Amino acid sequence: MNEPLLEVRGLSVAYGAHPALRAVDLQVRAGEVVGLVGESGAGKSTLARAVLGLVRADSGSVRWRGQELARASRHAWRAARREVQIVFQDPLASLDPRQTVGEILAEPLAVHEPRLGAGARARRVAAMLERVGLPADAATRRPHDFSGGQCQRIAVARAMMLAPALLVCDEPVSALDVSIQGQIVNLLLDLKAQTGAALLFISHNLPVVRQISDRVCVLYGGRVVENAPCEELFASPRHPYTRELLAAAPDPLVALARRELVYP
Amino acid sequence: MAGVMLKFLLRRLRVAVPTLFVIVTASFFLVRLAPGGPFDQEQALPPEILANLQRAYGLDRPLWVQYGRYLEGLAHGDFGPSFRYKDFTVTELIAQGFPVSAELGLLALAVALACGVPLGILAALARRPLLDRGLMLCAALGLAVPAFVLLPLLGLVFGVHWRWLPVAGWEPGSPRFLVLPVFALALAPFAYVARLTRGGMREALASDYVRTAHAKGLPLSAVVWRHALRPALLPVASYLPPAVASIMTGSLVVESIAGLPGIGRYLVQGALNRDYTLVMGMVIVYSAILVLMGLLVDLLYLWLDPRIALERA
Amino acid sequence: MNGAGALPLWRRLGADRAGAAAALFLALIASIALLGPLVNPNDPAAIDWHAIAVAPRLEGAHWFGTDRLGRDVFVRTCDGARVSLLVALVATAISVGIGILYGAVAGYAGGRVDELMMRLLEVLDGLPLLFFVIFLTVIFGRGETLLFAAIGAVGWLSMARLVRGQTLSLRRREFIEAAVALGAGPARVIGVHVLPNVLAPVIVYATLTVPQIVLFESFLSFLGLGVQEPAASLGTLVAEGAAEMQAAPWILLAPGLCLGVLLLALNVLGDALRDAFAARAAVGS
Repeated sequence: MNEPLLEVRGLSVAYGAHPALRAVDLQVRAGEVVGLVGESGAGKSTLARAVLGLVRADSGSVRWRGQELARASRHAWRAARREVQIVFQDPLASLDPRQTVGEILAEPLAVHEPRLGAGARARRVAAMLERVGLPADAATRRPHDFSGGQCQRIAVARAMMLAPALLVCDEPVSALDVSIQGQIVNLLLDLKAQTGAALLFISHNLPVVRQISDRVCVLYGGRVVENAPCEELFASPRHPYTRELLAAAPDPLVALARRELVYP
Repeated sequence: MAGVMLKFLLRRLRVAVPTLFVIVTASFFLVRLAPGGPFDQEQALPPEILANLQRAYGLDRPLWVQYGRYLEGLAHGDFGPSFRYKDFTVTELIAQGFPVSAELGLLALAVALACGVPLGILAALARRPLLDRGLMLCAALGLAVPAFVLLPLLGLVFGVHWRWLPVAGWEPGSPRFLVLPVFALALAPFAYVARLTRGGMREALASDYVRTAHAKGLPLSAVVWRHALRPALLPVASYLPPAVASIMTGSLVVESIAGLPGIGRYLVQGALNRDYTLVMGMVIVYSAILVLMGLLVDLLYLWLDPRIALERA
Repeated sequence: MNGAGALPLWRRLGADRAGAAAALFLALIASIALLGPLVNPNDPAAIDWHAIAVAPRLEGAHWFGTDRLGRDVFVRTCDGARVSLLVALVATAISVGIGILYGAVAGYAGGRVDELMMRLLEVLDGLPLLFFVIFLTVIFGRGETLLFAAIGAVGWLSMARLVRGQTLSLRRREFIEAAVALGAGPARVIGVHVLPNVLAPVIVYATLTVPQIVLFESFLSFLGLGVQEPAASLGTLVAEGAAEMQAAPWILLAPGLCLGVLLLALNVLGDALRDAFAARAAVGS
């Protein structure tokens, strides 16, 4: 096995007196899809934010390509920033209402490739709009002019602008209509196939996680209670909580039927 | 409840005392930063006289000794000697001027409240929008005319033209001299109080429990008096410190125009004469009044609405 | 709050008759203050020895009369209004600038930095700043630079508080997190994402600040602590007029009325803008 891209070890995060993550271990290898499941409040979003450096760890380490991020130099930190991107749950909230879609998509370039000319930037933005299935004139409009699904396409496009090695998806479809969820998941899988990016896919939608993941990690009360290859976990869950979680999930037949619905 | 109140007051004092200390310290050292000494005059003083003067005022000592002495003096209510009014100490000047200023300021505050609150209630209750609009336009006008424009105009009409009241001057025990200054000073806070009362009363009348009381058949006057007035006055209460500040600043010009021997006039004179100790003393006194006012308002809040007051703490 | 939101704000303001009237009046005063001296060719500093303290007469050379030195009151009032407005605009710009910067940094930094910065603000708020300004003029002498600095320094507190509150609530929004996740530094996040999103309330608040600063400046100038001779602001003109009011009331009336109307228009405009903004915010949410 190759060396992990992302390696989280013994990560603990607390909000005041309330612990959100307790000694969490997690690995993501290049090109791998890791599903992260658990009920709300289990610490899924906190883990996503900690991986991105948006919340400070109280203890433990987050390593990117073997380098400890908390002690990384400014340069190394920025380089890691460039390779790890995120798609949030609420597409509209994650887009600045004052910016045009073109400005939103150009921002990663402005931050990481400031020397790029305006023309080159516009070309990259236009190319990305096409890849995520948005019309070219979207660049001049603002997020409010788009539907939730379209906004999530914009958010995905922003995250993919720099061709990251790891894309963290924090419940990327749960705020969307069921009919649109499949489109976004398919978009993510397409882009992953094209770029070879790894995905850390956070969701409470077990059928989707089962469908796309190579490995699945179960969070419960801020701890990782089970971490196993996808089929193994779904076939023979070991931890009682995982069993409970799977039992509460829709019947596999129903899930299969739904998969038909989700991926036409 | 009493314990909570005490805690609340102590907390407020914990802000008030450092604030005063900062004021005293900042003003002390700012004065020392000043280019030129207090005895700089058109003609330079002979060096030996300057040295004598500096010794007499303790200015030859190290800075921290002077600072310590000043603090010590303050603790005894001694603001030091005035640099310009050679025969008086600053404390004496303040003691002379304070009663006049206090009378002027308190009267203005009383007029502002006594006229502003009823007018605000009237505007809030007005059925006809024209009456409400008219009253509020008056309030907007009141806010727009500064005291130093209004007082000369009042003097022109009532003093020069009709000769009813003196334009300026002061005789102890004669309230006639205070009439015009009090009204000039009261206008802006009056207008503000009226606006705030109207807003507060509107909001209180729209609240559920007041509407319930009205629906139960209580007459409007009783509803207003018993249920709506207290919450309606909350914004007025929180406006009191700025109102006092506005009256105090207004009193600077009003006392100067009307020739009233209050502390405001001393402050202006001191400022124009660069009388450091006098201005410092005045600034400290004014600050103390403002800080004290803040504490009083907190107590008032406690009475009007204990819940909010404790939340604010 | 949306991208097309700027237009409805002005539309709403246009629908408010008092606000629209105030805006028109302001434009009128400003244009008279700017253009009046061109129409009426009297030099504000020129002394007309043949016309000392003459009463206003519209057919004559001196529309609003002359002062004790024979200077034209109309032109001097225009000059004073221009100086007052200029001082107010510059001082407002200073205080808005400081306030935005302080508030955005405190709100964005959050935590202990925010707490410390807000504590400082609280102490400064407790100070009677006007007296402090007077005090500063005593110490450092009188002059326009100090006047700007002092007024600007006093005005920024509320602006800082407003921006800080707005920034705090923005900070929790995901698009700010998204920008940080992209690798954008604090300067970029504040400049590109925070400030444009707090601009609307800032503009409204700045409009409400202008009349306060006009009043403050004229107050200091009235006391002789602000604008100095030979320059004149409305405050110094009112002071001159008040001294002569028994013999020549017009010297007081022209600048006094001008100041009153100016303040009234600014206040009404500020209120109308605030109402329009509140209405739009209520619709937007």
